[in-house]
Amino acid sequence: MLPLKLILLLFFFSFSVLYSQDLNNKSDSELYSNISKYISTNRILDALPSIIELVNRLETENRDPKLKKNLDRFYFLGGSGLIKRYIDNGKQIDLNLAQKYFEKHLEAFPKSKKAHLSLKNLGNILRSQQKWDASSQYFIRLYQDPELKNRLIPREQSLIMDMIIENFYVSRNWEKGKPWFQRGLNSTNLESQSKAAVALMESELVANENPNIEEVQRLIPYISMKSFIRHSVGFNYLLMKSARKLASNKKVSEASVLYELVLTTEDIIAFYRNFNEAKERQLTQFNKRSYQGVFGNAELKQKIQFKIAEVKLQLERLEDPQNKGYIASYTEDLEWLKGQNYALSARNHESFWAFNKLINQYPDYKRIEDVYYSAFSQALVISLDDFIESIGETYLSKNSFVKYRRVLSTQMAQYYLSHQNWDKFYKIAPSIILENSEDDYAVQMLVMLGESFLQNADIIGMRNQFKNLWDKNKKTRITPDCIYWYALSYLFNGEFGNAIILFKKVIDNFSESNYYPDSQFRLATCYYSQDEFKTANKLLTKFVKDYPNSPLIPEAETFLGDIDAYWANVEESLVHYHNVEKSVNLQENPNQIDFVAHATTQGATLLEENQRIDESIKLFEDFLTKYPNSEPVPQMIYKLGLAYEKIGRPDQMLNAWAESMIQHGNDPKATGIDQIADTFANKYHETSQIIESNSQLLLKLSKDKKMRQRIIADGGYRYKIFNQPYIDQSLKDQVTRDRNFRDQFVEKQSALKPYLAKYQAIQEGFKLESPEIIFKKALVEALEQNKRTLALRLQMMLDSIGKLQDFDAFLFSQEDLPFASPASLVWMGGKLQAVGQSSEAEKVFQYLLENFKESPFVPKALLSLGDIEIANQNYEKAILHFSKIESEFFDHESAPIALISKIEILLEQKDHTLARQILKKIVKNRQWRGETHAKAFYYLGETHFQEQNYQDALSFFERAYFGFKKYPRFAIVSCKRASETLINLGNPQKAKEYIKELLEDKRFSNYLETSNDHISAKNYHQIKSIFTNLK
Amino acid sequence: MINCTKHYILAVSTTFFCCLLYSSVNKSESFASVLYKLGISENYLAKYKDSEVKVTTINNNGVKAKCRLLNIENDSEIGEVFLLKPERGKETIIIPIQEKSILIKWEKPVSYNESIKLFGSGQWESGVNSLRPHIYPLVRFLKLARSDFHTPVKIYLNALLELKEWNESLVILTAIPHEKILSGYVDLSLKILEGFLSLGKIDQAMYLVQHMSGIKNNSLKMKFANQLREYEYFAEASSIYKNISKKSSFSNAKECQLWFYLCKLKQEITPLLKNQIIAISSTDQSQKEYPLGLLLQGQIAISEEQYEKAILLLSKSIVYSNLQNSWVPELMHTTATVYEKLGKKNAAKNIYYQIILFFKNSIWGKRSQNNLQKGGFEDLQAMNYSKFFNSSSCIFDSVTS
Repeated sequence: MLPLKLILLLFFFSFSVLYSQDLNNKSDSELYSNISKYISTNRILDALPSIIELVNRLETENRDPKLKKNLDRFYFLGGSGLIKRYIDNGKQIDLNLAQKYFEKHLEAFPKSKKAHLSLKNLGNILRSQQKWDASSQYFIRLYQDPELKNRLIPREQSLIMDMIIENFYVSRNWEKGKPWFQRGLNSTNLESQSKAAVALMESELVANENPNIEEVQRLIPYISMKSFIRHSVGFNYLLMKSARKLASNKKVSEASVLYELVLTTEDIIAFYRNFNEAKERQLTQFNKRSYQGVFGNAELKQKIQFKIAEVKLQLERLEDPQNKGYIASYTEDLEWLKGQNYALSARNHESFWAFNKLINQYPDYKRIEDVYYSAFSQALVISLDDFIESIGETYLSKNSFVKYRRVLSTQMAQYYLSHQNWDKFYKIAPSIILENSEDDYAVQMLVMLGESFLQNADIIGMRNQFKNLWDKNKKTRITPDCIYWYALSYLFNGEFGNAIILFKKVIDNFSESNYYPDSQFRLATCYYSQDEFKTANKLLTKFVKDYPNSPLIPEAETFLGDIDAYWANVEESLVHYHNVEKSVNLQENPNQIDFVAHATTQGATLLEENQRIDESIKLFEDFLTKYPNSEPVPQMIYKLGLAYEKIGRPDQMLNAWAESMIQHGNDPKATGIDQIADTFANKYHETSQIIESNSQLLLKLSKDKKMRQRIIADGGYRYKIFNQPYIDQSLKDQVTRDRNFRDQFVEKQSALKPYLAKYQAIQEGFKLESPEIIFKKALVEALEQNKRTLALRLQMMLDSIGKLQDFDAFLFSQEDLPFASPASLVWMGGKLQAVGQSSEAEKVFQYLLENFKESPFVPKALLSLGDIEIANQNYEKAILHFSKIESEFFDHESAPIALISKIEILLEQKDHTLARQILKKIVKNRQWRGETHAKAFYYLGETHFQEQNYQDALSFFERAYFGFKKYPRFAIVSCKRASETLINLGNPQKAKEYIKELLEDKRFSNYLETSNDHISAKNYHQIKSIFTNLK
Repeated sequence: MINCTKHYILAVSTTFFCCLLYSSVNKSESFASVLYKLGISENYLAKYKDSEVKVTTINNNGVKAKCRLLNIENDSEIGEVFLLKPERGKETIIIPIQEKSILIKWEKPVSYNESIKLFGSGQWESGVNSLRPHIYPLVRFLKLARSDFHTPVKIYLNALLELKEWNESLVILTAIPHEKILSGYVDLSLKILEGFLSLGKIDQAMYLVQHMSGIKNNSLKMKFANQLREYEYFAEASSIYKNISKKSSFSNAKECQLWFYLCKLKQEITPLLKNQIIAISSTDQSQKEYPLGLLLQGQIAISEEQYEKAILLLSKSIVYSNLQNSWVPELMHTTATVYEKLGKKNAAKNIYYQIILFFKNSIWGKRSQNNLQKGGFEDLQAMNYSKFFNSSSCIFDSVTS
C-alpha cells in the first residue's frame, strides 16, 4: 500500500479548488468575508480557521436553521482544507477532524451537491487508515446511489469500483467482496479486471480446503500480464503454495497449470524495474515536448510521477527483508516443485531439465542433495546416459551427501551393469556389498555381481571375487550368498566335486538363507552332471516336494524327466515333462517357454522312440495350439513335420513346413525355419520319388498276379524289386515276413488296398508346386513386401537347388546383415568366399558370432573363418577358430572337420606330437566312424612318415586303405603312401600287390570318372607311375 | 462539395481562422480499385466520400465552435489540410491536418447511442447497419491530429470483427494513418490478419501486411510475421523476419533471425541450413533466445525422425522458457506431438491441456483441441501418479509434507 499522505495527495489533486488562512473572535459576516476572500484566490489554508470557527458557531443549537444550511458548504470546504493541512503538516488531528466534517456533511445533507465528493473523501481517509471495510461502505454507498453515482464521469465510477475491490481484497473479506470481484471482471480497464480476477482466484484458493480449480482456471484469461496485481509477490507465492497443495492431493495436472503461472521474485522485480525505466523515459519525453500548454498534460505528468514513486516503494519493500510481509525469493523452491510436478505428470524430460537447471544455477540450495538425486532418477527414467554417470558420480563424490548414497550407488551399479561398463561395475559392486553386508543392498548387489560374471563367462573372476567376499564375510548376513556364488563358479566350470562340497556347506549351515533351496537344486544338478542319477533323482524329487513354488521347478522337472527317460521309465518321464508346463509362470517369466518347448521335444522324442508317433504328434500340435505366437513355434513345426514323415505322411510335413516358411520366415531368430530351409528341397524330392515309386509298384502288383507269385517264390527277384530306393518298408517287411499277408498277397488283389489307399492319400495331400516355383513365387512376394529376412532365406534355398542364377534376385549387401538368419549368414559368407571376397565373408561370419551366440550355425561360421585364415596363412588364428569348435561344439557335425583342418595345420608346422594327440582322440570317438576315421588314420600315418618312422606309418596307412575303401579319396592317397612306405622299408613287392589291387578295383576308377576330385585323380596317376617303375 | 471561397489557417492558438486557397487530390479512388481487386464487394468509402461530419472545435483556451468537416485535401504548399465550415459563418476554413492546438469533437447523432445499445445486446449486424452511414464519413478524417473519432471507429471495427466482416474491416483499417494504428489499432489489425489467414485468404492478408509495412514499428511487423508463420505461410513470414532481423536497434532482432531460420526450415531442409541453425543457436543459457534455438534444433531432429533427440531439446527449451515467450505455444505444441510420437500420451495430454488453457484462442490452442479430440488419451486424472510414487522411493514425500 502507498503511504497515507501519498494516497490523500493523489485524490486531493483531483479537487484542485482548495484555499487557506487563520482567525479568532470575529463576527460571522467577517468570517464569511474572510472565507470568500481566500477561496476566491485559491488560499484554502488561510480560509480554514474561519471555516472551522464558523462551523463551530453554526453547529450551536440556537442558530437560525436558515443559517445552518450554510454548513453544507462549510463542512465540505472544512474537510477539504483539513486534508490539505494534514498533507502539509502531517497532524493526525486534522485528518480526524476532516473525517468528522465529511461524516456530518453526509448526515445533515445526504443529497448535497458535494455529497458524492464527501463519500469519496471519507472512503479515501478510511482507506488511508487501513480501515478497509469502513472505507468500502462509503464507496459502496456512492456506487449504489444512482443519483450520486451519475455525478461521476465513467472513469471515476470505474475508480470507485476499483477501490471497493481493492479494499475487500486487501482485507481478505472474500464473502462481501465476491459480488464486487465478479462485477470487476467486466471492467474494460485491464488493471481493474486483473485485480478482480486475482481477488476471486485468491478467494477460491485461500478460503476453500478443496478449491474449485475449474473456477480458478476460468479466471486465468482475465489476468493481464501487464497488470500490477499479476506481479504481486503475495499472489504469486499463493499460487505456488496452492499448486503444491493440489499436487499433494494428486491433482498434478491442475497443479502444473498453477506452477506455470507463478512468477518468480526475480521476474517481479524485473517487471517493476522495466516499468519504472519506461515511465522515466516517458517523463523525459514529456518534459521535452513543446506543447506542454495543452490542457491535461500537467495532471498526466503528476500521475506518472506518483506511479514511479509507488513502484519505487514496491521495489524497496520487495528487496528489504526487514519489511513487514517481506517474502524471500522462492525461485529455488518453485523450480524444485515444478521439477517434481513435471515428473508426476509423466513429463520426465522436463522434470530432468528442471532439476539439472537447479543444480547448475542454485548449487547452494538447501535441498540440493534431494535435487541431485531427483535429477539422477529422472535421467535414469529417460536413459540419459551421460547425465546418469556425471550426476551420479558427482553425488557419490560429495562426502556431505548421505541420504541417498546407498540407493544411488546401487542404481549406479545397475547402470554400469546394463551398459556393460565392467571396470566401473566391478569397482563399485564389491564396495557396496562390503559397506552394506547386513542389508538388502548387499544381497541385491551380490546377485548382480554373480550374474555379471556369468554373462561375461568369467568363471575364474567369479571364483576369485566371491572367495574374497566370503573371506571378508565369514559371519554376516551374506555369508551363505557368497558361498553359493562361489560354488556356482565350480559348477559352471565342470568342477562338480568342489561345487558339491560348497553347496553342502550352505545346506548344512544356513537353512534360513534364501540360497538354501537353490543350493539343494544345484547340488542335485552336480550329481546329475556326474551321471549319479540316483542321487540326483532323490534330491530333485525332494526339492520338487519341498519347494513347489520355486521358480526352479520347471528346470527340476526337466531333469527328472530326463533321468526317467534315461532309465526308460517312459510314463514317469512323460509325467515330469508334463509337470514342466504346469510349473512355469509365463506371465512373469516369458523365457520359461523354452522349458516347455524342451519338455515337449523330449517327450515327443521319447514317444517316437517307443513307436508312439501319434502321441508325439499330439504333443507338438498341443504346443502349437496353446502357444501359437511363441518363439519356439517354427522349431516345433519343423519337428512336427518330421513326426508326420515318420507316420508316412511326408505330404503333411511339407505342407506344414511350406506354410511355416511363409508365416515365420521373416524372423531372423526362427531357427526352425533355417532347419526347414536346409532340408525342404530334399524332402520334397524324396516325397515325389516315394509317391512315384510306390504308386507304380503297387499298380503293377495289383494288376500282375504272376509278378506277385514270383515275388513270393523267388527271393532274388523279391530282393531286386524291394531293394529299390523309396519302396515302402512296411510292405517289404510284410511281403518278406508276414505269412498271412504273403498268402493273401498272391491270391487277393485287395491285400494291397491299405497301401494303395495310403499312397493315394499322400498323393492327394501333396499339392505343393515344386520347390523352385514355391521359392521363386515367395521370393517375389517377399521382395514386394520388403521382407528381407525371408527374401534372403529364399535366395539361399533357391541357391541350394541350383536355381538362383535363373532368378533376377537382389542377392544381398552389407545392409542386409541385420535381417539375415544364422543359416542365411552362413550362406552369404559362403557366397562371398566363393567369389574371393574373403574379408567381406569374414565380416559376415563375425556378425553371426556376435549376434547369434547360441545358434547351431556358429560352428559352421567358425569353420569358415578357420578356412579363411588358412587361405591367408594366418594359421594361429585358424587354429583358434577350430579349437573353439573342438571345445564348445564337440558333438556338432563340424567338429571332426575342424579337427582335421587343425591337424593339417599342425602337420604343416611339423607339430607331430600334438597332431597325434588329437588324432587319437578322433579315432577313439565312435560317433565319428567312417570318413573321419579314414582321414584320422591317414594323417596318423603321415605324422610318422614325416618323422621317417615308416613302420608305424605303414600300419596307419594300411588301416586307412583297407578299412575305408568306401571313402575313395582317403583310400587312394593311403594306398599311395603305403606303397611309398613299403618301398622305403625295402618291400617293393608288397607295394606292387597293394597297387595292383587298387587299380583292379572298379570302385576307384568309377569314382574318378564320376567325380571332379582332381587330387585323387593325381594320386591315382602317381600310383600308376610307381607301379610302372616297380615293373 | 466546397463551392465557396476557400481560406487557409496558419495554425495559431489565438485566432485560428485565417484563409488560403487550396487544392487537392482524393486518393481514396485508387485505393478502392485495389480493394475491388481483392474481392471486396462494396466500397463504402467511395459511397460516403462526400458526407460531411458535424463537429465541435475546441481551442487551447476552451473556446468552442460548432462546425462541419467538409473534406481533406492536399495543398501544394503546406501539404494535407482539412476543410471546416463553421455553423455561424460563410467561409470555409482550411487547417493543416497536423494541427494539434484544436480538438475536434464529434457531434454524435442520436442513432449512435442506439447502435451502442444494440452492440451491448449482441445485435451486431443491426448495430453495424445503423452506424455505418455515420462511421464512414468519420473514417475520412482519421488523419486529423486531434479528434475523438477513433473511439467510435474502434467500436465499429470491433463490431465488424464480431461479425467476421474481415473485408470491410480491412477497408477501414487501411484508411487509418500509420501513426494512429500504433496508438490503438494494433490488436484489431492482428485480429483482421488472423481472420483472413484462418479463411486462407492470403491475398487480403498480404495486402494488409504490405499496407502496414510502411509503419516504422518492428514489434508490430514481428507480430504480423508471427501470425503468418503460425498459419504456415513461411515464405511470406520469412521475408518479414529477414528484414527486421537486420535492425540492430531492434531488441528482438535475434529472435526474428531465429524465426527466419525456422521458416526456412519448414520450407526446405538442407545440410547447410542445419549447420546455420546450429551455428546461430545460442549456447548461453542466460540468453533469452536460448530456448528458441533449442526449439529450432528440436525441429531439425523431428525432420530427421529422431524423436528421442527432439524431446530432449524441446523439453529443455520448455524448462528455460516462460509463459510470456512468444515461442512457447508452438514449443509446447511441438513437444506434445513428439511425446505422442514416442507413445507418451499422458505427457502429451498434460501439455495440450495447458496450451488450451493458456492460449485458447491461438492457432495452437485450436490445434491442441483437435489433437485431444482425436483420442487415444487416457484419463488424465488417473495419470501415472501412483505408479510414479511407487517407483520413486521416498524422495517425493516432500511434495505431500
